[in-house]
Amino acid sequence: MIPILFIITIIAFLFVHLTPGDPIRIMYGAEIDQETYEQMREREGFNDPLVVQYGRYMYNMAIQGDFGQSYRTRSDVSEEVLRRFGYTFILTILSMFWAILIGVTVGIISATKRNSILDRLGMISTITALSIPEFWFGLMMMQIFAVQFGWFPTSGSGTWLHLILPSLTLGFGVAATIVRFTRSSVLEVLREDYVRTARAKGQKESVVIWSHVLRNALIPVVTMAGLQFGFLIGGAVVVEQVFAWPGLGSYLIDGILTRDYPVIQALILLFSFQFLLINLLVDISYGFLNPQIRYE
Amino acid sequence: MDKQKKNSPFRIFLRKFLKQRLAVFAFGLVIMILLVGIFGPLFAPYDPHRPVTAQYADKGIDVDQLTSSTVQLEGRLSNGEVVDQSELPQLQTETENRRIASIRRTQSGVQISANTSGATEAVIESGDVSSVAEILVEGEVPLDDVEPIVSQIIIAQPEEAFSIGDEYQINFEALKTDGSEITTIEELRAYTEEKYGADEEEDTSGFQSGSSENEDSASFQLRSLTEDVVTVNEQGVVQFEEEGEGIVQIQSGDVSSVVQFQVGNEQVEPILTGIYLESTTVELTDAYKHQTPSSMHIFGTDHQNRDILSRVIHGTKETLLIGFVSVAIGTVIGTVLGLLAGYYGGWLDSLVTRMTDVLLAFPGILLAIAVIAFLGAGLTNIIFAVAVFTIPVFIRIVRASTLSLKEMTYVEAAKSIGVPNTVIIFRHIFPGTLSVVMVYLTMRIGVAILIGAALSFLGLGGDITAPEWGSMLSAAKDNSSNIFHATFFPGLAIVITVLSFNIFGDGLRDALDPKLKE
Repeated sequence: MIPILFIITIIAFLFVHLTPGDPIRIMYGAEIDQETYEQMREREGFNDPLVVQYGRYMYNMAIQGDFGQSYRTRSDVSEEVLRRFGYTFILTILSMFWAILIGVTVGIISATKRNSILDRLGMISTITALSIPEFWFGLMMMQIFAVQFGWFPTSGSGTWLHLILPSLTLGFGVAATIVRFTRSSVLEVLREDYVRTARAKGQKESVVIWSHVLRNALIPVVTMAGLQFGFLIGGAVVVEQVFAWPGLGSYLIDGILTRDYPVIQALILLFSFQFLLINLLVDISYGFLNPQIRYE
Repeated sequence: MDKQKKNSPFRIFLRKFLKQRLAVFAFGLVIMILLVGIFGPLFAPYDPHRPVTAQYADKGIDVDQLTSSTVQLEGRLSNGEVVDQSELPQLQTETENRRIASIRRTQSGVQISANTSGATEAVIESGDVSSVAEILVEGEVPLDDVEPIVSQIIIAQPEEAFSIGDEYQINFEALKTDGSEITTIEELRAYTEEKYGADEEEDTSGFQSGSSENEDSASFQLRSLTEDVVTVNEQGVVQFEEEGEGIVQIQSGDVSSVVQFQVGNEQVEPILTGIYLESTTVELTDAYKHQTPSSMHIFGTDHQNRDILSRVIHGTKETLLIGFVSVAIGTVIGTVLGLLAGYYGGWLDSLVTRMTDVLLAFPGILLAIAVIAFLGAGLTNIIFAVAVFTIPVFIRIVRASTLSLKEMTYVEAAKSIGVPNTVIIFRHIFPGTLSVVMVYLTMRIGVAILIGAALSFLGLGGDITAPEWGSMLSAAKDNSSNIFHATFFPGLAIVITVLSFNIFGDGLRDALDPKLKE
């Protein structure tokens, strides 16, 4: 994980140097004269060797938590990131809640009532759900529940009502994945010997399902849901744009569209770090949840 | 010969595939979408880049018919005669809000033309009498809660002559646009105060230019226009004071009518007592923006009045291009790397595998966004970005199947007789991986289309005016967020396309290699 993180910092650092367009020109406008240009270049430290620049970049970032200043607004990127992080965080947490609630429920129903109409309906819905782009689903939710019924505000942030539609939209795609996974996991456990034994000794079906099947079947589901967290953050970029949610995703897109390199740099790093962290946490939690793995 | 034909791998595959009806149907849809992508622009009813109103003339469609409507009107005289529009004295026509609709006189009536969506009123005035027509222009603003208004007042015209000292109770009907009537003075007074009182407040804040600004029209009036001949009290009782012609007017805001009395034996000239409109409510559509779906525009038009159906048809090509080209690039690079890594092993394998793991750890959309961040916005960059996140998937599956194929006896045999490595890879191993590659190819096209559309939705496609499904939705989000049809149809096109590819891919997988099924 550490070497990967190291490589990512190098990529993020080189980003400013590899992309077309001179950062000084972007910062101060294309019309500045040659002398000021040289001065600015010297002041911003672009004339130093790349290694020195990289060292300074790493020092500022790792020791001082300084991600530089936005080219456009001249505000501190780290402050802006901190301010927006909360928005994205609460959005993804609530989306995960919806995704697990819907996904696990539908998945269990599908598996226990296998080949029934409910099961078929559930499976068709998940295939369809996986083919629906999140942004369109969000726009449709907005049309129906915000524009037609007026139950929720169309976009922006402020109250908890603003959070409902974006989080449902974001959770929806992941819910479909969780449904499929839960279903196959439950079906697999249902074939186990101990389930047959429990049934053979005359245990009630509800007890079989609740204490024998679900306990074992949901372990991999938790892991999978954890891994999906990373994908939620990816989806959040799109959903935030749909609902004008002031999170990290919209900051990233604004940064790309206005070529605000420090912003892009910081966010690429931050997102990469998040994924690596999530993957690590999932690996660790897997050991806790499933003791069989720990002793292997 | 016959027997062998039956058992050829292709036959078996075909038989298995045809069994899955849903997948066959999806395959049909895929073919249709491909045809639309290739030949669609020939059939698109309108030019996707220009407003349809600019194209109506070329297509021989009369724009006036869509956006305007002619209302016949006639005047009734006090002797019961009916005169048509051309004989009305001092005819004046005006709309309360000219931004919404404008009105002009024609041969047989008045023509009302819509300018933008909204509700307003048209006032048709001739001397002391006037009538009002309600104008509803359907457009982006839903108009379901428009209040009915009084459109015309009909006063019963007495035929007999009166003599001095007589009293007469005026009877009238004020017709509302919803068909109901007001017949008492109190009700009409209350209605007028409610309606025009409220209107005046609006006038001070807004930019309406209407006749309601003048004091006179903004109130309820029941008065005699010939004070020396007749007087009228608040209850509508007319007193005849002198011989001659008496005229009493009832006015409710912009609507007014008169009644004429003959007092004494002297004959009076008939006068105009009321203007009667053929229809009191004029419903029009705003054809300059956001036309709702109709037979002319099945999917409606967007914020620049471009035909959405034509744009969806033209967009098919670009969307498919993103899907196919990016997946093709990803497949070729991924397959080659996967074959090499799987076959040679060693440092090459560990490098490629490590790279794949890193790339697969990121969600596709973010990886693609990161690539765009490097390359800048644009269609080719989107294709490249989508290709980048397709590569690792193919590396992984091709490498896995290469590893198992490498151990096959026929590969060992080829090696032992000294066949060069490149020949072994491409003649003996590559064909074995083909079925898996084909399955993933179809499945990834759906995903690639989704990611590509998401990227252009985010505005990373460069040209936001291009008829591409993602950018259409992006534009609809910004300009027509409360218009259902503008956001619905481009998205539906994406869903149908992706769903067809996904179901087709599922069917292909089941037919080619049942082991791949989860």
